[in-house]
Amino acid sequence: MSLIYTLTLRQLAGKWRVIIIVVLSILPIVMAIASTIGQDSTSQSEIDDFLVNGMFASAILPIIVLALATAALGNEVEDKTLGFLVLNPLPRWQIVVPKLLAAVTIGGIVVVISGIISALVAFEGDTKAAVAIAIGLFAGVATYSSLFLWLGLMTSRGLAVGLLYVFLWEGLFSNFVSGIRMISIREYIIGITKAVDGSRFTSPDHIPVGSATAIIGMIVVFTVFLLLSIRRLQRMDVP
Amino acid sequence: MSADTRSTGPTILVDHVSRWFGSVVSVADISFQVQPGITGLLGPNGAGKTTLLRMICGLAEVSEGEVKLLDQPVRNNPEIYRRVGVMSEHESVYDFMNGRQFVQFEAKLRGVPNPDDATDEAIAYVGLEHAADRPMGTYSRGMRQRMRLAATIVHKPEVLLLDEPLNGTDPRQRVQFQGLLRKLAAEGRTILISSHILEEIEQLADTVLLIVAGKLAASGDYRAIRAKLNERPYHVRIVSDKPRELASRVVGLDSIDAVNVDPDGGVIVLTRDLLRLQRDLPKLAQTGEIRLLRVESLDDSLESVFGYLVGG
Repeated sequence: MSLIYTLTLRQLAGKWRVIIIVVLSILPIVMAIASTIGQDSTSQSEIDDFLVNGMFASAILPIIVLALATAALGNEVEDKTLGFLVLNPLPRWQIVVPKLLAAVTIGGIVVVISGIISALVAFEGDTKAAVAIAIGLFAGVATYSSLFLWLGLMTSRGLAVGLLYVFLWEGLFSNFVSGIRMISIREYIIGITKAVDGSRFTSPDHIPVGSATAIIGMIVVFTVFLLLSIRRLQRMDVP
Repeated sequence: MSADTRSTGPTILVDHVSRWFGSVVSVADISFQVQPGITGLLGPNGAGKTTLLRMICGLAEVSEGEVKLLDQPVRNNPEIYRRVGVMSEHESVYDFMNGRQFVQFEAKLRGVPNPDDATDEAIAYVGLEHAADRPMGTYSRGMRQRMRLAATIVHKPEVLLLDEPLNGTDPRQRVQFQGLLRKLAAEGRTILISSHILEEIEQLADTVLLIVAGKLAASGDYRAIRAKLNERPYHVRIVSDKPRELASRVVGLDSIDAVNVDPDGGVIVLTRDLLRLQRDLPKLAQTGEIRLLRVESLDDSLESVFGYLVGG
């Protein structure tokens, strides 16, 4: 598996993808610095909510993971190199799992580092908040990676479909329709972050899902889409 | 680099295999068996060769029927690839790898015991030692195909499935590649190679499977099929400075079945004895002081050959 893992790390480290990811990951840090200037007009809970919910869980994290995870297998399909992997004596899960791990590795490192720095800046060195954000974001990276890896196998327009999903389902519907919060990765991220640091990450108009719901929800989404990816690779016609 | 041959039955078994995409039938009820040696899978573009080959190697699902390689089902049976090598029609490779890394990568994925030595051996086999450490993105088409062949044979497979491997190669590269395939077949391997070019297969394969419109139009010894092809009538277009005089003279030849003059002034003759026409025509032109400007067969395309074989 390490061969495919290493291969995927190399594939995902393409110049333009890295530039986009780095720029996106710097944005929350810039916003965090900005939030420390003239704080009198912005409450701490608003900053908490903006950083975790508004920046990371709704936009930065899913977009970074989308760019990585849809490419991990999707680019092999598009470049017609998937045959080099599947025409080998490897069970399909031994192809899917290292691909997923590679996407989680790069996405996790970038997003978590960005999250920790942003938290330390915005929360004036509050390490507990930084740890909470790191755990919540890493769990989010893993869950989104599993979903978007599957999406990359299902359609050649994984990026476009994924963006629609992020902005409509995670950004819009789950914000306004309370029932959808139960099946929203964004809500799971906030729920886990809140579970680690209960003193933060709750704004008066946004009550996150409970930690149990968040943990179970993430495990279910991660496992279901991992299994769907393996099944898809077993059944699809490989170009 | 000899093959490890353990199979007793047909190496490749295709039994009433069909494949359809919605309402479009790509492959229709094809059955055949392949034994060691080189077998050519021949057919015009769009005939269904690639779909068939992809089903044989397990990349695509069959809609109906059964495919077996070395007496085993192939779909979702990854262990089979320890004994089978596949080279797809796509020329894509991991451009950031050099040739050695690419072959070594495939060797390791297939669990070859000593991947470094196997890689060196495979690269030497295709004669690319000098380019092994260059990125594959800098290779010519022929070099890329040969390095892909090295990756395909690095685990010494008993069966090789090659989809249009000579596509885009120049004549010199083609000769090199054909030599390699003959060498591999002489070592006891079963090689199924697809092509839409008659001459490519003619020079390589003793046994031929002719696919037309998703169906198996003919199969068997290449020479027998060729003999049948030689019996068919040919249309030949002759352009000369005196078309009407040429037409009146050529109609008297025994080798000619029919003569027409086309609006452009060319004389179109129908013959069942192309060789005799080739002998008679210059003499006839000489005696009639007719200047022959061009002589061309109108039936050389693969489609017309297949059309004849399937009674079209």
